[in-house]
Amino acid sequence: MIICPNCHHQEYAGALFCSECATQLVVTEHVYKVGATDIIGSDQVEIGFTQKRRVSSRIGPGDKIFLKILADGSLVELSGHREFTIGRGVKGQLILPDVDLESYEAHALGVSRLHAVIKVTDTSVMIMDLGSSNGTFINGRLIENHEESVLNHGDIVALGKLEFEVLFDV
Amino acid sequence: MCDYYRTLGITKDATKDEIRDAFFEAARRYHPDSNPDQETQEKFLGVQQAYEILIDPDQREEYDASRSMGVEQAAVEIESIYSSSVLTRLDEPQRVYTMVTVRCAEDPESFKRTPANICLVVDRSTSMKGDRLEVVKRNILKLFGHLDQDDVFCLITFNDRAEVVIPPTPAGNLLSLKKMVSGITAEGGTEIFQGLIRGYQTLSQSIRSHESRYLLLLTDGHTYGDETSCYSMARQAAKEGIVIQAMGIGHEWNDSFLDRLTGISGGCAQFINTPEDLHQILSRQISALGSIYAQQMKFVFKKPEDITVGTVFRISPDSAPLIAESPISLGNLELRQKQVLLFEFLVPPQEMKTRRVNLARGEIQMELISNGKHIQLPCWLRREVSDAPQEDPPPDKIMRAVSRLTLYRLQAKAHAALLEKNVAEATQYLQSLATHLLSQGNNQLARSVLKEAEAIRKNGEFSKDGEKNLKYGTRALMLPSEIDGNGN
Repeated sequence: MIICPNCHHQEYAGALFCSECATQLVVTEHVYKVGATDIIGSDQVEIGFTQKRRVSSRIGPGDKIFLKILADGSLVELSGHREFTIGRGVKGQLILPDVDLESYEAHALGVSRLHAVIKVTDTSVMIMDLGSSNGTFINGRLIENHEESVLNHGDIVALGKLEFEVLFDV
Repeated sequence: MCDYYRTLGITKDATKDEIRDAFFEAARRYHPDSNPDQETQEKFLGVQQAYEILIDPDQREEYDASRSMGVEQAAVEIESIYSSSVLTRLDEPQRVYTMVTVRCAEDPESFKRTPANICLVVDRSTSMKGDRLEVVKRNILKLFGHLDQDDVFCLITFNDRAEVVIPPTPAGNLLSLKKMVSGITAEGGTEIFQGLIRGYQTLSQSIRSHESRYLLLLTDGHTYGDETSCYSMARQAAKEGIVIQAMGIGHEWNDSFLDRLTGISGGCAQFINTPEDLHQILSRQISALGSIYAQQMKFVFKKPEDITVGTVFRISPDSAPLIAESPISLGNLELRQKQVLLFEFLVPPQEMKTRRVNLARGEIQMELISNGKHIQLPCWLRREVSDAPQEDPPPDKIMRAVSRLTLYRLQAKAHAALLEKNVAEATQYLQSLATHLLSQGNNQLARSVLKEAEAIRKNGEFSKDGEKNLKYGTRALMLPSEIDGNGN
């Protein structure tokens, strides 16, 4: 038996994907799924790079991307993949967003379970609202559902009322 | 096909010792160390291959079988790949995936087109009234221009009764019958069997010996109570080489019924959402008629009792679930085309003495259009058992196909959960599905999945076209253009 690392469903040996949540169960060169990212706790906040001057507000190759939660200043790093779903995990929910904001009072602040997706290309970072109940705002401006909007360094994004700053680090 | 016996210079009844001696002798002669030139090296490889096949009793038996079946006469190749190169010996059941490709390698230059006999069976029940029927009628007229001079066409309409609108007519004479098509009106109920049986009878009565026969069914509704008679008629049609293809218009037709009905004869059911879909699918069907290399293709196999065939899914040329029992009807094999089948097996725990597991053993049979000859190609699916765990990752093609199959099934699970009125579960499946589609870059389909998840949460049911959009959308993911994508 194989136990799915994502939803703990039992699969037969030799299964390639979880039949309940489609998580890939074998290691291959080519990964077919976006995995979850680690959330950096608030005790690690003082990295100090936000003071760094950036020549451009756009992303370049090799840049790291962080989301700085404004409420408590903690940082969430987006790494290892090209696309990250953002939302709040709910106990018992099979599929969790790649970036789970539940520990930041996401529910009370009106964040949907799968609220938005952030996409990283070599030259830009985009955000797309996935039809959330309370909308996604960039610098206070509501963005269209299901349409990609460009994110720049220093943009303040609000998912419902939960706000974070987008930071690109060289 | 190479003659391995000739390569080694032995007779067909050679013993194992004779084979071994012949191999050592030939290997000495052609060994690359003493003969660095290209030609000798290739000979050496040929000798090695011949030896490996003939020294293994199973492989030798398969090779002998394929020679006696006259495979050399047919330009058809069969290839199978597996999710693992060996089967690891386990004391628990395990899954094995196999992808079988049947490819037609006939030279298109030397190929002669076979005339087609097409019977179009059109639903004219009340629900077809208005634009729907007008679009269908326009497309029927367009179809006339695409047929070959030698083709025969017949048009049948049905509601709760069937009517022959155009009796079997050579394509050249159709233009004078255009007004028959314009005269079709919509009224009454939907009894698919009425239309099917009339269509089948018409095709079955054709006395032309050299033709390929098609029944194309176009409907937008459910049929009630006559499903079983439809299936048994389809089985009879399959025996006579009549392939049933179906097109479902709009969102109310019974997809599982049409999937099964068409699956019996090796055809497939397709979803028509827009007038363009109808035009595209009809013209593809018609152009395919001209390039059929073999018909009545089927995989006839035996499998050990303890092996379970979970699913057989065709992923090329169309994507459709097939009936996972022998014989599996595969319909026609077209020129320049391949049929790709994905098998999902469940294999029981393996005892210490088992060296090899037969998953399915049989042959792919077909009738060549050019000369009416029946040919059989051995297709034995099996794996060696190994005590060491398998470490190589599964082939990319299998990973892609199974990943898409998994997504298709998530959609089916959402559907099943909703039937049980389990809204929360259905929503979860759809959210999983959307997440994976997004991570594969399929944003458009992901968006419609999320829209459906929202619709389910609000109303407890799929939106009007949503359910079929998702089903056929996720199914289309398995088509080879998607699986072979990105240059892999």
